[in-house]
Amino acid sequence: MTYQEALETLEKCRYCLMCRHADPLSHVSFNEALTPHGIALTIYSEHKGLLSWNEDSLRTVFSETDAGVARSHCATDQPFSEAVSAVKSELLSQGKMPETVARLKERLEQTPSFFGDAEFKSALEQNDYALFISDEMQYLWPESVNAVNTLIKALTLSPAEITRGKSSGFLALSLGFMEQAKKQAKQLMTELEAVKAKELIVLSQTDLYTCRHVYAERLGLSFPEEVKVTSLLALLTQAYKNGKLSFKPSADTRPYAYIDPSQALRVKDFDSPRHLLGAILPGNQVELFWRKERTHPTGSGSTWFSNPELAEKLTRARLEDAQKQGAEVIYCEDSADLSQLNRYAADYGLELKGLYELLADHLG
Amino acid sequence: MRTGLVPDMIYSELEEIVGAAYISNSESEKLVYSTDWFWLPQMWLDRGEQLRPPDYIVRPGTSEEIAEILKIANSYKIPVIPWGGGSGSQGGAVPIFGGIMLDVKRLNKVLEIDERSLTVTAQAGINGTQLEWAVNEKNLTLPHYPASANCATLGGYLAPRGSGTISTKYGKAEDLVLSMQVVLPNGEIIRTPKVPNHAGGPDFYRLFLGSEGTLGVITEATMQLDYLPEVRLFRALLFDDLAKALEAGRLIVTKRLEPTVIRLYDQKSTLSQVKKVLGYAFDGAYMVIGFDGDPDIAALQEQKALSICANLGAQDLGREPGEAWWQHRYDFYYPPKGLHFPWMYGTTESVTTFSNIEKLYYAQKEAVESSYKDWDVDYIGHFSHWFHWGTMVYSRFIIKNPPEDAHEALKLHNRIWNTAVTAALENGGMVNEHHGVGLKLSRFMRRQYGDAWPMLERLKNALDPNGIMNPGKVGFGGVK
Repeated sequence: MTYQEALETLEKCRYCLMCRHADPLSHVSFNEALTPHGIALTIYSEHKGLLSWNEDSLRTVFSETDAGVARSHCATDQPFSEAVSAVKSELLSQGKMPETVARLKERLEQTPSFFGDAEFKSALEQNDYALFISDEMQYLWPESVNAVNTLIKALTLSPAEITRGKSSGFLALSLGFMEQAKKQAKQLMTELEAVKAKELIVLSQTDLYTCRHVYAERLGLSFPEEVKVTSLLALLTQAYKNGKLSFKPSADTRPYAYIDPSQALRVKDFDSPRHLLGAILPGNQVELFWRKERTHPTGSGSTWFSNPELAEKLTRARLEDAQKQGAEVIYCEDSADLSQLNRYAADYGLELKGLYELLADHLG
Repeated sequence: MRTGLVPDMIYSELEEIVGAAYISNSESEKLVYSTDWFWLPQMWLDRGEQLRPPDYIVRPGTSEEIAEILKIANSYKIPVIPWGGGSGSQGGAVPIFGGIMLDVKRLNKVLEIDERSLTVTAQAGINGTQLEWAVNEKNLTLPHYPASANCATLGGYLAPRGSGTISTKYGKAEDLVLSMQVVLPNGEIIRTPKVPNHAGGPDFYRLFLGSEGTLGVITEATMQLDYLPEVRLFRALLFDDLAKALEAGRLIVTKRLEPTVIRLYDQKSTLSQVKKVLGYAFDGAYMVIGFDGDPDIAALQEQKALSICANLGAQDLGREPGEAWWQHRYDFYYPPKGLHFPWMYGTTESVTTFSNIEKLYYAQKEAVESSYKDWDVDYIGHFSHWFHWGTMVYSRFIIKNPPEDAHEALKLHNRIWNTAVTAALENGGMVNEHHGVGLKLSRFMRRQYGDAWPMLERLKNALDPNGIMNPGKVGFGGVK
């Protein structure tokens, strides 16, 4: 999306209040300026010469979560997050960014990932299946890596690993670092093409959304059409339903909740994780108030880097919700979300567990 | 950013009450709070003109904090503008004299759901749809479904006396409220009696309904709930004659068939709005009728209503166009489907008795269309909130090529409103039915109330002697 196209979207959003009920930022900040309407009006007012960019207004724009919540609740499908991301990119190109993002820019120029720089060599041998273990899983929640490998073995698959420990490019894009995002995306696609895979297995809803939509629609890259992108959770659910995989029930009877990951509204596979959890922990699942179609991001992702105080509020809101609904244990499969929730889960007396680890530990 | 000894003093005192995280005077935030959903200030910004912003934005978390803020405002004699969702279309939340923007969205808790009495008590800053989701978890509903539910707050339902889509059966927001907590302008916190229907003195709690923040700040309310209906039945009809459609609506209501919805679009609305949003190219007056609740009763009510419509020559379009309307009833307000810039528009809605409604509609239509034909004005309307004695007309004017100059546009906008409201008042109507008074209709209040107006002014002066509460709105003046 170009800056001009972004303005055309924001022109529609600037006076529209119709996604307010679902908006995560104003829900935790109570600040009109952080609603989609407020962010759009801020950007548009600068365009009209009514405001000039300063730390406050830049921080408002860069706080946007890029979780697709506004679009998911928009009757006319306005790509609000995508438009704000394009504006962030334009602002960065003009050297305008809040201090928090300026510090990231320097860091990104030194290392390609926000989270680590270890090198994992990919064999890149031909394989029908490829597996992408992102930098988020590698560095933020590494205990999931072994669990994922165990689960993939149980599915009798042996995929080729590609770009392990690297970013898909989504986080860079969300912050407005368009060129960095393209570079990361191209690396993934180059390795995918090298192994000639027919199916790419991804481990988070963020990666699923990125490969299915972001590359083509937001970065203007052509993801190979012949490659099917599948989430591991969907494969596991299918195998379980077909009787090809079984799980042993857990003796844990504590009430638990599943936290929909930050990008859940862009994928809308709300059932797979709940189905799998139900196989191991039947009967004691509670649901958050902010769940499924009305779920909120956890505070991981770009907001954590651009406005950590606000991200913390998002995280705490999800944890408070789980506590209020009576959960004692919370599950999620997304490494960035797990890492973010883990910062404050103990404050709410909640035990946090990775879904992949639970599944691997209870394979039948 | 306005600084100086006194502004800094005020900022510091407000900060002590709400904490540093909940006060702001940043330029970008002030700009966002300088307009609500009213066309005029939006147009002003659209044309690149500056609006008077608030001086401070505060986000109190309790009624007690609001009380303390009002005491400070009184001592410095500065305006206080209560802000919920900012979804009002008449400028009720526009800070025309600056001052303290009192954003009440932190007051967002559901305090109690009484499943036996079917009531909910909630803080007034809670978002409408979020409140509805909360009661839905108990298989209940707050039967107030305004188009602004996604953005308005509970306090915003009550303060301008709003109506929702299903008000014909369940009443306006003001009919659903049992009691309220209100912070008075002097900082006193009062609670009105627990139930509204008694004989223990005058109904003074109703004074705050329609006050739009000029007499106090509503901070909590207990509202009546209903069970989520087992069925909702919708059906669409087409009339070739608006008068016959209005008569059908009158008979359905006065025979107590309890329709949930009667939404009747005039021919021009049918050809423009209905076609644009729902995709149906009907030529005539398109009516949607709905019934809900027990399946057997709703089916019988629907059957009798259809019979009335058939006797008046209506064509039964079946369920699908009725259900599509219900599914997409809010889509009319999403851009680009809704009215949008650079157009000029306004909703000059009114309400009157069945004896006057047709006369009012045609008088207003004729006045607007003939006076502004040089601007190629469109006048469209629908009839959507029905009472046992009459109905309302949701009339709108639209000019697709208004003056580019903001000042000229404002003058034209005001002139059209004068014309439309005068036509309504002269034909037995009120200045509005549910959009509130705000800034736009303030100048018509004295005319609407006549001899009764000075009494309301005296009440205002007694409650708010300094005139700090939302000055310039609902017909009241500025800070004294």
